[in-house]
Amino acid sequence: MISEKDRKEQLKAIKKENARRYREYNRNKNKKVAESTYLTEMKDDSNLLEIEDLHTCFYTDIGTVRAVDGVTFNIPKGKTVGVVGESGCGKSVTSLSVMRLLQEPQGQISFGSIRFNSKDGKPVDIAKASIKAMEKIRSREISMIFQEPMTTLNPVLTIGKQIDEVLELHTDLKKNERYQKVCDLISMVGISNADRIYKMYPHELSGGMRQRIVIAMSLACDPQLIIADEPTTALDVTIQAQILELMRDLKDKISASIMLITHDLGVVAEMADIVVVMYAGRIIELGTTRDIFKDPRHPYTIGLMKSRPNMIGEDEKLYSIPGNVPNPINLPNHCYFKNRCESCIGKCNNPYPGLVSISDTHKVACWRFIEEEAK
Amino acid sequence: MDYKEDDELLKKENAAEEFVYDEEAAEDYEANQVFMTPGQMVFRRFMRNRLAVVGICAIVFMFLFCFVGPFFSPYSETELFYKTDIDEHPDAELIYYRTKAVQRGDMKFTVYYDMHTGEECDTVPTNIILDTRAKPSKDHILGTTEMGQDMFTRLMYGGRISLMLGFVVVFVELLIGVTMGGIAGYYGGKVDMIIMRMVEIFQSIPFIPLMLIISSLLISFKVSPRDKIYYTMFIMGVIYWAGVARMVRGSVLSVREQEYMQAAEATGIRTSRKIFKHMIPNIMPIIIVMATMDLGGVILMESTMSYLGIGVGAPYASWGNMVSSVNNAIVMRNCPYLWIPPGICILITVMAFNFIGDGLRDAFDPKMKR
Amino acid sequence: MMLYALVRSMPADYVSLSTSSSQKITEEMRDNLRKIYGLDKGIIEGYFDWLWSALHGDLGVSLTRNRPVAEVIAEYAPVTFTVALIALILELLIAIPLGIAAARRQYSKFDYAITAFVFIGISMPIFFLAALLKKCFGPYGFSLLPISGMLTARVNYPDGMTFAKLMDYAQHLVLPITCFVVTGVGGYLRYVRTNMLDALSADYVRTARAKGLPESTVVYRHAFRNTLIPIVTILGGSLPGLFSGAAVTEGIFALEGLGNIALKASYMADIPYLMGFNMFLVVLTVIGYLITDILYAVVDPRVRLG
Repeated sequence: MISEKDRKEQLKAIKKENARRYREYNRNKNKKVAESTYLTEMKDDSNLLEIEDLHTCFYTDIGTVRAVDGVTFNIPKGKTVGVVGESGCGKSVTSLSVMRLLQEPQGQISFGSIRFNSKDGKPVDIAKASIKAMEKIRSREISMIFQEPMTTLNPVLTIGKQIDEVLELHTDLKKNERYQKVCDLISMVGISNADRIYKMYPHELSGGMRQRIVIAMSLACDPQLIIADEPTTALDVTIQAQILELMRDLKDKISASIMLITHDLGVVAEMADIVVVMYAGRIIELGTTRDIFKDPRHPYTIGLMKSRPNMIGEDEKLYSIPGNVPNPINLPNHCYFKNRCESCIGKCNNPYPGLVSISDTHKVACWRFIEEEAK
Repeated sequence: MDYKEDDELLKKENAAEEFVYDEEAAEDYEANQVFMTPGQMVFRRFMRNRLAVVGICAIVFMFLFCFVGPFFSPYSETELFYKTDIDEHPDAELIYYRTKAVQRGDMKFTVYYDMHTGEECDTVPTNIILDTRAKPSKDHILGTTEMGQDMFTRLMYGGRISLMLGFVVVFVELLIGVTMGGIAGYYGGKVDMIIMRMVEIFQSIPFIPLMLIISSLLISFKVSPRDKIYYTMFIMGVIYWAGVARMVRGSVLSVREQEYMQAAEATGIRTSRKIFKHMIPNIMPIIIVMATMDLGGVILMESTMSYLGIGVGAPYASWGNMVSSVNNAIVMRNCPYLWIPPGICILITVMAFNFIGDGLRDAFDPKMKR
Repeated sequence: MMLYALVRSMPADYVSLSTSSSQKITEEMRDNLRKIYGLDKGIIEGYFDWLWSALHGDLGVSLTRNRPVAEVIAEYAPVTFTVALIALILELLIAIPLGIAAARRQYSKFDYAITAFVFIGISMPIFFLAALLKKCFGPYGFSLLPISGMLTARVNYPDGMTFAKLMDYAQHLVLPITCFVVTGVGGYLRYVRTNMLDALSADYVRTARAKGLPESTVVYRHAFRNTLIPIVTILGGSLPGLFSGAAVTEGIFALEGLGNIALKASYMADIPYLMGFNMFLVVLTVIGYLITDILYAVVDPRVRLG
């Protein structure tokens, strides 16, 4: 154990450091960012979004939490990417980083780039973009569906008004055209009687209905990317299926990409083309849905697969991965999963392993495979 | 991607955070983490609130000033000072007098003596008047009052009464309020209804008119000024309990609705344990914050009452009745030292209590984590 | 409410007895007086008498002014009400924008400055502030503003309302209103700030941001609309306070308002007026609740149907 005095000094240092960061943030906040600083080139033009080495940190009183710690993955055009992992592994923070909706100044993107291939052909680095530029991207190009349909709608504004707002902001449609569009959107997500719903308030609708409204809202400007942050977690199972079905249909209709964030492997298996598995702020395995589900390599992914309820097997008891997620403050400098890993080897004491390719589409971050490659 | 790059990046970051982990340290990293107990968190959050810390300092200072200060003061609260009346006797030598009571045989005498030399006068000096509204000087740091008492000393005694009154009133109101509110919230039903009706009645009483009436009542019963202070305290406490009760009831109700209370119920623990282990700790922060804020409120109210002449009365000092000297146009114009210091004392004390209360509320509220 | 009136009436009866006995009147005369004022009866009987006539719309005759209480209240209420209403509007005009601004920049220097100002306001004894203002702006300071009364005494104005007369009123009211605003604005400001902070951290505000709305729209259309709900709830409740809280200030600045008269009345043990005044406050409380409910329905769609 460290002494009381040391701890006090540590806390003091953290406080000082945080204050410095906040100050810096506030200084830069109102600075005008020239377009040239955030214009960038896509590495591969078939990608819609390229996240490269993204670090997002939360500066808290008791230390810096690296919620997202060097995440790299791509979202190809028209594909669905599922991001899985247990609570607190950084999947929501990744999505908020893409939208630049982090609770600033405590949460900041500290390093890395998020390249977005925008509609007008100019790729934008979201990590560096100004707030003004972000306001144009939000909803028009990237829209977001949040977890809690009960609280994501403003209780004092009508449904119609809330959808209309998006159109008003991002399109040149006239008032009656917008009204028509809103009604179309409402019926598109499978709600009849759109005229009546237009004038209703959120509290008059059920959870499923509200989530449909949120989806309608996110589709209003035909975005290229829809980020769905656990869209079905708060809904019951039958509604879940409907909502997922709806999302899949609509995605094809407007040919958008989806970044689906969930901890439900079933949902991922059903919806996603590519799966990203995250653990403690890092990607530990990445591949096509087939790769991950048929041939999981990382011990953690294997554990996840095993802990799914299996309808065929005889086993009554569900598998659970032993131990807990490490404290996100001051993570150790070795594989974060080491202490819980069943197939730990001597090399695991080395610094954190990078991603290695198993096949063209399949990558994993584990010392066991690095060794294999060396051979 | 090459892991070495990744590793180097990590090291760079670590250097910035000033926690560098080598291989050995990484082994027992669990032990190396910074953990805090809830109490420490509250304390830290509180201490970070600069205004709250200023509040604490101000209160400590006020306490020292009012409760320790009088021991160092050469004068008493009600002592009168005299001086040679040089307006009437222009030839006489200007001497400042103090008095003291002396026992000679069976008789008690008041002896006048020179403040500076200590020489006693054999007879009662004839050419003296009360040394009123004296300008601040070495003898009287803040001058003397309209009655010829030492202002600075009275300021200390006045603070004593204001602070003490604040604490007593808050204690009384908490005692009644927490009990009643707790009963109403915990048992609900008819009990709740009766208590809440009572609360409503008490809350709809306009306070100042009521105190005016009670004050004249006390005077008509010929209650001595000293006892009047105690009555006032008691009555204020009795009237103020309604607000506390309402608050406590509200939070008891909301705590009862919480899942953890149902969980506690499900484990089948004793009622007393349920109340003391689960209920009280959860409403304690609210009570503490409320008590601190009320301390300020009560002191403010007391000073207003004393200002109107219905609280603490002469000859006793209270900050409120000291400010009321401003009603005299001469005092307002010429003697700011008589009414500004007590006013500022009230302001500082009340503000300090409010700062502390606010700091505590922020500190207790886990949502305020930043 | 009736119970409350009972509580109030009991000491009041005694008081009148005690104060009248302090004057040098013979026992006979006092008994006579009491009979005229209806004070010869017992407490309970007297109370029911009062209650009975009050229910019939007769609040009795003010002892000090020798006029029906209702008339006195009707005459002086406008003064109190004007002052209080102007003060309230000013308070809201200051509190809402500043509260929002402070919430948007939580923990900034600006926020700390606002907080400090709020606490000075809340903690300022109103009589001390009044004295300071009088000293600064009155004849002993900069001699800028009149410090007491409603009109300049030496000037004769025609009966009707002229511009000059209005200006004179306005000048006399500047200091009292300042007093009200400084001491009253803090509470509202704090309230707006707290609720705004809550609203700003709500999910729907994040949704609004995700829509790409500019920050000002997010704050004023989405967050503020929700903050209005709690603000409205305290507004209705402050109605009786507008009248009763003014007593001290009115007294200090010698404004002829209800509070000031109530203050004098209680020194003089003018029971009918005090009872009438308190009845008036009770009625206002009820009206306040009513207004709150109506406003609530206006700003919160959830209430409209429920």
